[in-house]
Amino acid sequence: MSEKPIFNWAESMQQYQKAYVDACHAFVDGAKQPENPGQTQASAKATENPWIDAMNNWWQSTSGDSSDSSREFYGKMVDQGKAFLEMTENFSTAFQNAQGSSPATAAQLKTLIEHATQNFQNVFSNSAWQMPLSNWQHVMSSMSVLPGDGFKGMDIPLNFNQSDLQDNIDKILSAPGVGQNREKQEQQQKLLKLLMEYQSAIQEYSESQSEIGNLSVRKFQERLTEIANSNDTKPLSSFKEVFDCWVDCCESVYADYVMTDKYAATHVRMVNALMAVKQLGRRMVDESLGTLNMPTRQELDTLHYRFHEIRRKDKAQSKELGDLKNELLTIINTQAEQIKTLQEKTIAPVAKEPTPRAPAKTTVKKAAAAKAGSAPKRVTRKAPSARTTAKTKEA
Amino acid sequence: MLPITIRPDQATEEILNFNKKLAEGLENLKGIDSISTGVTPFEIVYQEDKMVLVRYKSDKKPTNKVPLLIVYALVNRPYMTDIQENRSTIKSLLDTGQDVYLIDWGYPDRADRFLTMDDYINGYLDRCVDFIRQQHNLDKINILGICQGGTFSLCYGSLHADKVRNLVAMVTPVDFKTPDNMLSSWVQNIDVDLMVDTLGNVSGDLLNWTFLSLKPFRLMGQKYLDMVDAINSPERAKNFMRMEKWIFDSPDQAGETFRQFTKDFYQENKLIKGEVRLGGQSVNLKNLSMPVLNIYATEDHLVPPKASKALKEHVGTKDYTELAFPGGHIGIYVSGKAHKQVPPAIGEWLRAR
Repeated sequence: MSEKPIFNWAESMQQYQKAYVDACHAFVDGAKQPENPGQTQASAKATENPWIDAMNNWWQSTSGDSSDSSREFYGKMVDQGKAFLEMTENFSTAFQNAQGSSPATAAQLKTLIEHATQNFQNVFSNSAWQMPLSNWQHVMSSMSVLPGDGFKGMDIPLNFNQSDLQDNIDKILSAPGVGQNREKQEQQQKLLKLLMEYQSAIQEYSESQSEIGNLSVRKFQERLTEIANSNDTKPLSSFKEVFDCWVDCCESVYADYVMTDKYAATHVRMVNALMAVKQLGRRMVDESLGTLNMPTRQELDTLHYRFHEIRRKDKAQSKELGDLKNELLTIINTQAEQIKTLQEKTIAPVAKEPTPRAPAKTTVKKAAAAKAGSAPKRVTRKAPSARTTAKTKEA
Repeated sequence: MLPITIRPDQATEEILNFNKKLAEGLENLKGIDSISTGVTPFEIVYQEDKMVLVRYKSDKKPTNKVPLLIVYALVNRPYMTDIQENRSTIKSLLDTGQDVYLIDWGYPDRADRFLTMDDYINGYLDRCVDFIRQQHNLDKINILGICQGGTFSLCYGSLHADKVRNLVAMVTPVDFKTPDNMLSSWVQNIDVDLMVDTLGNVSGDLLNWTFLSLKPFRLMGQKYLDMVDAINSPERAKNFMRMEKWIFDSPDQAGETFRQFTKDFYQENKLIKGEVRLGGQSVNLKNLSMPVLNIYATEDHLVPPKASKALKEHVGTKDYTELAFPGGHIGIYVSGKAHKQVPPAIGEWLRAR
């Protein structure tokens, strides 16, 4: 890749830097921060945070050169970066008047910390940290039957009160179907009911995520207060330290919250509700395929099931056959040994007497010896023979 | 005292550095052409359906005459054990003189939906064990099971004790209902029948969502920001990309196996009760009469230490050893500390038996 985009980015950064340094000087002097530090000649549409503008410009100009995998991965880093820069803006603004002097009272400290952290949840939930809910919707989108993007449209405001509406819809949806398409009507009514249940479940889940966010902010405020009141703990001296402290608080709150029965029930309700919708959807799709004389998922499942059953039997029989072969070999070898021993016992005394039938003895001995020699040196009882193994391999 | 003391000049410098690193890092990423999935050479020695049994090659001749078969989980891909040159569990095990085999289960598709745990354990796994026994003309071999593969190995060992000489379990869940098991608490009331009947195979993305949701702020946020500090090194950038690839490389789960594993193990905790049934036989951990080495990670968020350590109470063997690794579920394979401690300890333990 050429260096041009980075050069542009660096140049752009320099311009923004000047605006930002001016703002920083304003912090030190206790002067009022410029209303719009990003408003430079370079960018007429700069936002309140010039660093984010610079990053946006840079990312827009460079991301096209990256491979898909790099772009996706790096996009995550850039999202985190933006959230990080927004956080720095929050803190810079909140602490600008406090630099160099400690708050006189606990109340002042509390106000200061609250002011610094009030937008924290929004910063992260609006940009980088939409998961687990947004990831859930993404994952569901990738599952077929009913397109998940339809579910994406089910994002609902947290303050939406659906109980009255739901009651009325429930009544309508519970009305019996009539006429020739009665069953179809009932199926569609059921689907709508299940969708309503899923919507309600996802709202509950969304509320729980929001509660985790609020608790995290409170925990973060407590942590900052602890640091301020402690003589042993070093104050946070970089934005990265602030960020890490925030993550620690979030994870700690999250870990406690999601282990509660309340959360487990919310989680389960959301998953089960979606599966119920998908299952009915699958049945409806299958029925439609059937009317078009197309193979359905249910038919394929039946075939796969039978196929697996046959394969299991085939493999069991192959194994049994291999075991039988091995046992047969063992028996043959044992018998060969017994014959050999018997012959040695019966023939040996005869050999002492000189008779003209001696050549016949040699023939019998040779045959037994040949039989004994054909047996494997060691028979592993449970291991399949090479032929059996080859048979079990799938072409 | 103020809880945060960042001077304006420090703030400016920190942000400027951050942006510079981010820009330089992208250049490093662009230099990465492809991401390898395993570094140690191997040969495929046996294959059946989508399952592949590989044998790793080494410059040194194995000193242990009894081969070691690694049984990985169905979740995620086994190249985690061989992720990079200086962080390869496989390489380290070869260095201890082991003759290492590994089962790669592959990526099940919808035609594999009806594969059961019995198919995996008494079928594929058993045939792999038989193949190795035959190749080496041995009655018994050593087995190392990892995570869910560890649970499979325990089941296998208890059903086929006559074929297992030594059993090593790594970060293996045994008691699925310890109070600190977040994953378990979430799945207790999931309608697994509804899920499998609806989805057929359970998608790897869905499992990934669940795993990432265990620590969302670290795994989906902080990790990427931390990487800004490391990505200026091409080598570190590449290593990070390898891990990213592995994390999101999640095979779908054969529906029937997922059904049994979730219901019997997570929801009903049947393994420690001796109530799991495979191929018409009961799995009883008391049948594990061979020496057992149980390795767990003290910071494991997927398989809490208690879930693994429960094995001690249930095995039949008197030769039971535990090894605690101070790290997490993934760190036990990829951290530098792990490579100095874990494979040598396994090698030593096997050498003594």
